[in-house]
Amino acid sequence: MSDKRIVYQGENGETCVVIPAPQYSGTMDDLLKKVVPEDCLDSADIVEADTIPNDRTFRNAWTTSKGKSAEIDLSKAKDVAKDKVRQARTPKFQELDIAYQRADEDSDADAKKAVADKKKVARDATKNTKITGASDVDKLKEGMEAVIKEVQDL
Amino acid sequence: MSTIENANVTTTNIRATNVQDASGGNSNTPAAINSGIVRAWIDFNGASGSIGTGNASFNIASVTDHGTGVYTINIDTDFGSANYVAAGMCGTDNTTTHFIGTGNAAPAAGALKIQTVNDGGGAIDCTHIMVMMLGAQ
Repeated sequence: MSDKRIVYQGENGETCVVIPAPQYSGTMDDLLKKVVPEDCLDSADIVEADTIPNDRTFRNAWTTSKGKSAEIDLSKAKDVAKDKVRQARTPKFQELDIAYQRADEDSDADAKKAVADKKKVARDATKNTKITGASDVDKLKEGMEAVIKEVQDL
Repeated sequence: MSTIENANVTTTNIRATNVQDASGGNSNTPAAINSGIVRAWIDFNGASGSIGTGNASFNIASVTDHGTGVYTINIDTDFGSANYVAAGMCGTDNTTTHFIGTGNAAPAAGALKIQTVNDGGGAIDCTHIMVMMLGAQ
């Protein structure tokens, strides 16, 4: 198994990582010429495999540029974290909508208020400072997981 | 026609009009056999940092990881054209349904971009991605 990777910025701006198959018999230079699109060659580098982030939680927040391996951009990672919170709260919103409907049919003002309060917490989850104020990727992941749990536990 | 029975034959090339089983059935022309061969395949973990190394593969040069659930399978010995067939399946070790399809690029003779998504249509890294390709090289 090769301990090298090819990293380049793709045609859509994404960070691409090429991982050679075990039986590939050519050199990394050969592989680079074979698989990296011509328009992307300027950003392509051969790097050590252990410089690539292992955790794919914020995969779409990876960045790269000439001379650098893949790195996680904190600002982009916060956008990814917000998307994950949005995905996690979708079923909760559906659940709360049903609860609100039932409370409405029962003319239960207190129950309606309780549900409305929960929906507000879910709506504001993406603004939670555990995400927006995270100072590094590890804290962001921890904060995102906590926020998702808070929403799921509503 | 010559008949060789109960023999182990070691040679470089065999030219035949048809290939049959021991009972003379299942006759196929070499052309039919050739057209049905899987030319490249891979089974890899799309959620792992060692994606391209694969659990197992054949005639695959590498896998390009473009982001969550988006990969290009790079073929070692290319197809003769982009007109080949691919089939695959994907999943994670849970009960959620996942789907696999072509990515946002047309298949090329030497590369096939794929995307794996969940039942809501969102891109997702699958732990099992299995793709095979058939066509003329």
